[in-house]
Amino acid sequence: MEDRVGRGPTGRGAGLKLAKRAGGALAIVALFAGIALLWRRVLRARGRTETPADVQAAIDLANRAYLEALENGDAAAYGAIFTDDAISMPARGKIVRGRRAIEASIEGALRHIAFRAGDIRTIETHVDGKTAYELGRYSFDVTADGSAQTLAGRYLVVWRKVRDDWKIAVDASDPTPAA
Amino acid sequence: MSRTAKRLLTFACIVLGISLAASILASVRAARRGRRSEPVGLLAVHAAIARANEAVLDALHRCDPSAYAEHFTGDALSMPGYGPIVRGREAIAIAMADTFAKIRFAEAQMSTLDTRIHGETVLETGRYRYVVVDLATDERKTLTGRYVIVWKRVGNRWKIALDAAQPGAVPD
Repeated sequence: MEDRVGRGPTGRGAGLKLAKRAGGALAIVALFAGIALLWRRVLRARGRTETPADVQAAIDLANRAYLEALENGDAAAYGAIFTDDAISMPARGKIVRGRRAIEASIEGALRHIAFRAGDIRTIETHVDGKTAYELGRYSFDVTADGSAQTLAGRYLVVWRKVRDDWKIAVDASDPTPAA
Repeated sequence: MSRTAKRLLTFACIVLGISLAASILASVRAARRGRRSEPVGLLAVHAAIARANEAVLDALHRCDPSAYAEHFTGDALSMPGYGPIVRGREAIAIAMADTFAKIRFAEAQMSTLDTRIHGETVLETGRYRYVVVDLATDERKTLTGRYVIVWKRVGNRWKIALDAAQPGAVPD
C-alpha cells in the first residue's frame, strides 16, 4: 500500500514531478517574458532614431492641431500639445510656466479673442535626439472685443519627444519684422 | 535528476544565454548612441552656463566677434530681434563683426529665468538688457527683452546651439 501511495500515478512522487514540471514551465515563461521586455526596449530605442523628415511630419501635425485648437477655441486641445513643464513666452504677455497654467491662460484669452485664418510655416527645424527646435513664421487674424487685426511674426518652438508624441517645451514668438 | 528535468535545465540555460546576449547587445547599442552618458548635475550645469554667459557678455563688451562666436556650435542658429536668422558659427562671427562696426555695447546684462536640463541639452530662458552706442551718431539706446538659448554639451563645454531673442517683451 505504502509503495502504491509513494510511486503510484496518484501518489506523492507524481505530485513532486508535476510540481517540478510546473516550476520549470514557469521559469521558462518568466525568461520569455524577460526577453520580450528586452526586445521591447530595443525596439523602443530603435523607434527613437526617427529621421528628421519623420520629426518634421510629426511637428507639422502638431502645428495643425495647434491652429485648430486656437480657431476652435479649445483650450484643452491647445494645452495637450505642451509638455507638463512647458514654458510659453507670448510676445505681448508674461511668461506662463506649466501645461495647466498655459491651458488656463489660453482659456482666459479665448473668452474674448477669436483666432481666424491661422498660418504657421516652418523655416527650419533642427533635430537632436529627443529635442527638436523649430524656427518659423506665424500669422493670425485676431478679433478681440470687436476690433480685428492681423498678428504676424517669427516664432521659436523647442519640441520634446514625450513617449510617442512631440510636444512643445518652449514656445516663444517674436512679433518684430525681420530685417 | 530525471531526464525531463535535465532537458528543462538545458533549455532554461539556452534561453538565459540568449537573453544575456540580447541584453549585452542592447547595452552596446545604447552606449554607441551616446545614451549612457554621465548624469548632468543641475548645479554644475547652472555654473557652467553662468560662466559661458559671462564669457559671451565679455566678448560683447570687448567687441570681439571671434570670441563671441566661439561659444556657439558649428551649426548654431541665431535669431536676433529685428535681424534675419543667421546660420552657423562662421556666419554668426561675420554678423557680429558687422554689428560691432556699427554699435558698441556700453552695458550688457543677462539674467536667467528658467533652466530645463534634458540630458545633453539645456533650455535656458532669460532676460537681457543692453545699452548700445551708435558709433556714427554717438546715440545711446537701451534694448531689453527676453531670450531663449538651447545649450548643447560639446565635449566638456556647453555651447549655444540656438539663440533667439524676443525684443521688447513685457516685464515678468
